[in-house]
Amino acid sequence: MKKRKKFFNTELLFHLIFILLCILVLYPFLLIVAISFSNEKDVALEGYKLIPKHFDLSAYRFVFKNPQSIIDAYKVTTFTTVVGTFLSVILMAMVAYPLSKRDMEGRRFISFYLFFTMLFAGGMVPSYILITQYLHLNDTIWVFILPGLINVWHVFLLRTFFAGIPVELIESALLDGASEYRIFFTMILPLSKPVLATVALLGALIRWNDWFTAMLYINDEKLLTLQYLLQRILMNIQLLQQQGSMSANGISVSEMPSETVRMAMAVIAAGPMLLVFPFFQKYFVRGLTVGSVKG
Amino acid sequence: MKKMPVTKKKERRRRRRWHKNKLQLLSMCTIPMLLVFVFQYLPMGGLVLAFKDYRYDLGIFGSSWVGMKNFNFVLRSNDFFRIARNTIVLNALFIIVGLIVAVALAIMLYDVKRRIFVKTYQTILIIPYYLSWVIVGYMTYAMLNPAYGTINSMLQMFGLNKVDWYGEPVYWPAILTIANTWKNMGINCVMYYAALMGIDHSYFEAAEIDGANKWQVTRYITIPSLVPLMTILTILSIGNIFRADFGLFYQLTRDVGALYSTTDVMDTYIYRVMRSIGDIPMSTAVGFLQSIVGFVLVLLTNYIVNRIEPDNALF
Amino acid sequence: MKTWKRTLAVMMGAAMALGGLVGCGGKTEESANAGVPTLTWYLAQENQSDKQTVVDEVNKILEKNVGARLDLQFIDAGSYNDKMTMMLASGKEVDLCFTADWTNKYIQNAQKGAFLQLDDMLETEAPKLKESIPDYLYDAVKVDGKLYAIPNIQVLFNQLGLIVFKDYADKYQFDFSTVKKVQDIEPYLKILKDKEPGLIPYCVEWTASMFSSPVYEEVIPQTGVVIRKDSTDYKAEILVETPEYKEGVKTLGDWYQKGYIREDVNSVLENETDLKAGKYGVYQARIKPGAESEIKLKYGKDSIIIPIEEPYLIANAGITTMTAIGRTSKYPTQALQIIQEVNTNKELYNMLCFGLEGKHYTWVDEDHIRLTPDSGYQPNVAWMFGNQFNAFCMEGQDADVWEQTKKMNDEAKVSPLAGFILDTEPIKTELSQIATVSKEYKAVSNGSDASEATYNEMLKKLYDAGQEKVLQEVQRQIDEWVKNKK
Repeated sequence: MKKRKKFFNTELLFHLIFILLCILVLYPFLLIVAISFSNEKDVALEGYKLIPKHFDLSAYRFVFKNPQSIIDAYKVTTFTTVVGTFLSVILMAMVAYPLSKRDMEGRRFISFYLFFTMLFAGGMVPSYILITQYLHLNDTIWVFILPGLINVWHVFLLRTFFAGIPVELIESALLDGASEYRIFFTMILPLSKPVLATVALLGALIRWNDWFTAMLYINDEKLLTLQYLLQRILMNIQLLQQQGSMSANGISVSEMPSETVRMAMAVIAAGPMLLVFPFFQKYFVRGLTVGSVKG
Repeated sequence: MKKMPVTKKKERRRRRRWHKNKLQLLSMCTIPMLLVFVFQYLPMGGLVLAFKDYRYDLGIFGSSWVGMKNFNFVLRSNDFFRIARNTIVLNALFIIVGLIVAVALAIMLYDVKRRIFVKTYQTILIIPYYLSWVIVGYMTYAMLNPAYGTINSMLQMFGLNKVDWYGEPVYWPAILTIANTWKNMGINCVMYYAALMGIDHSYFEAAEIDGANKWQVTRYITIPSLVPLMTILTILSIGNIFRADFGLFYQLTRDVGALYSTTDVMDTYIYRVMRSIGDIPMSTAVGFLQSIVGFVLVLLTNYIVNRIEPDNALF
Repeated sequence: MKTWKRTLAVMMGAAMALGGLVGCGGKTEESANAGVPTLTWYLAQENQSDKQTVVDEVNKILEKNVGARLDLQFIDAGSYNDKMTMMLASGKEVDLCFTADWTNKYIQNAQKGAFLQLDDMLETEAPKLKESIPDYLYDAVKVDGKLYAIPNIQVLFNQLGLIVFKDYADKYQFDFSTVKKVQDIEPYLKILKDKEPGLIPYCVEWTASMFSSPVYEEVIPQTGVVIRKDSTDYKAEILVETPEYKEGVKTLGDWYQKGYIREDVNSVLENETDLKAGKYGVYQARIKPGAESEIKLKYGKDSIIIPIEEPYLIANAGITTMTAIGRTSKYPTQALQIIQEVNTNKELYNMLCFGLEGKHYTWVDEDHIRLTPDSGYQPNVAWMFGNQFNAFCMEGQDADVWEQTKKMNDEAKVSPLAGFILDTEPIKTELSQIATVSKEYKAVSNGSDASEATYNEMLKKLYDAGQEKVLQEVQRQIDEWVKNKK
């Protein structure tokens, strides 16, 4: 038995699998980066090449032709992502914690109350009326933050994790007279760093990638998000594809961005998030288990 | 016997504290529940639009009722069976394959001891999640293009016949599943990996001392500890089983009609209709229909889970 | 715990600082000019950074002549439809907006009560505007007999043509004067195929309907039902069953076999990129005076344009570019007068189209202007603002481009269905099924699978999808419309 174990090294096998998967992921990604630095004509004539024939920055120049708006957009996007994610994680954890307690009264009702909104939504028009005519959130930065604070999917994710925390631990704290708030902030949150980081990452990504809110509710050029700036270039392409040359008098086609521009946009949009990921990774630390808190 | 009064006193104090704590717990829920009420439940009244002929000048409540008329264009469609089947079957495929791959990756990653490798693998595998379907669509096209795609060139290199990928619907359930898994495996793996981080390490140590081998540890400790998360995530995805990821189905297939027999789903069908004859009540009606299907399925799944292990149920 | 609190404090501080920064942007210009109302005009174009200087000048004219001010809101074309739909559907106040059949959909919006009905107001409040636009144009855009938007005069007629790039045409000395139908281009395609490896001879922009277009007009939207352009009996037919369409399917199928059409035609989304890269020999487009210079601008090549049909005014000519007044507008009279002023005051109109002289454009000679690069105001959509015949000529355009266009507009044959608008309500299910079948069998119409068997399969599916019922319903509505017209 022991001999075979040495022969068949599972960890090595796992490494091989991961390396293979990484290649499957990295190859297309590097291709995207390469295309974004390629000459538009080269790509149209010769297809995608991992090493650009001529190194060309014109795609990035096209996207950044109006640097002030990109800077504004970065500011807005960063602000909404950071603040929105932070508030959202705290609030979601606050509702997920009571729901994780099996003996809490009203647990099933509140769970259902939240879950119901995952499936049923009133649609865009009523939300639009609510946000623009009653809450007057349009053209303010809060429209990016307030409506999406509670993501029910994430609440259930958090609830599942909190439920995994041993009950004895909390009970003993309760017996010591601790309030639930105290338990929540001093025990539950520190114990749940990996999941909080996961949910924060998911939430940050959603906020970072959100262009639809900006499209609907923002007219003020200073409040546009980065993704919307990029998305609207793509939407113009889509309009063209639908219209074809049918709309001979439609939008001016000479401004149609090339494939290189679209790839550059993908790099610009994904780049910052790629750099942020290791920050979240810090919290996926082994050993932050119950045992260590107990002691 | 003598101890009795002391326990009683203790018990009463405990109960009072218990009550206080219950209120605290409820108070924690108020702000989130209020936000959900304002941003989710208030607009929900708009669902009546599905049963109305919405005229902008008459408003949501002033417009006249039309019964099920807005549902007919999809429910009575010849294509309804096909799009319903495609939507549900493909989504089911995504859920199952996605789950297996993510859990397997998380367990393997847990076995990788060097932190630097863990971090590298995680960082790389999550990259596709940042890419939009539009971009993934271009990549897929570069590979599958019938004239100069990478895969066809490779097939020819091995002396095989070229395949007209965009003319053969049979391949697409597999292609879509692979693409979907490829895009989401990283982030799902992170989720399950985070769950593994939460397991009390002493379990593993104990098992090792007892002489359990790797497979046994996985089978009896690792997987069972992931079951709650697997259950919840699956129930939640079942809720959306009648909704398709529009970007995936539209951008990857490039809306090529020849592939519709296996790739046309609710959301692409609706999109096509909306472009020429659609209006707001029609899309509201479809959304409502999708919600109902998801809702029924979730209630069913949740009921079953409740029978097996109530703790894992959604509600 | 402590770190946690500190983080919170820092975040909140940052939030307020940034929120303040971001918040204090706009909201400065208002308050001035109290008594004069400001009307908002939504247009489908990218925002112009130097918009305000132009708008200030525009407002000087408007204040004097109309007694109102304008707030131009540019929304880029890709999001325009979604944004306007939300605004109109939610009852937000909209004074003026661009509307068409391809974005911010005119017919639907009119039917749903989004726009103000203009018939009477036009008579009383804006007689000059009424006069400036021919009556047939008003009739062509009436919904259920009522007018809900003012059409912009521009290129109104439809005429399809083949576009041949001159470099190859000159190289092979081909005589295009014999080309009267699409089919006639085949010998040239053969030359390109044989002599120019790497070039795709024929670009499929219009499918087999290109072949039926000289004879038939389709009843919109996407009904698959057509009517002869010279029809006097108003008899509707099924497009795919017309001999011309079948002929088109056969010809394209033949061309595909011979390699004149690209192998991957089924999965190609748009041809612009490849046209720019010079990959095509022949393509198709709508013809209009001055098209050559536009093509040159787009693809950097000289071209020869071969018309394959006569200029023709479709049933709803003019519906492609209009300005509507929102039902929610508080100043409908001023709104209509602004439209009138834009359509009749050349100075104002050109200011909106091209900005200010010296700053955004300069005169090259007495007929032509040159746009200043990166001037911050180049909407480049003269057809979106109003009567394009009032626009300055740009460098490279014939000085008489608008006279030519006007002549062709006036001489174009008018559709027998002029002013007919189909009510899709009774056939929604069928139309959505037909849309699916047509997409599914795109291979038939673009030539990549034009076999008899596939064609018959498509025909059967179309009938299953209710093509017959659609035909009958369209015919019924046309008959009724004809009866009421008399």
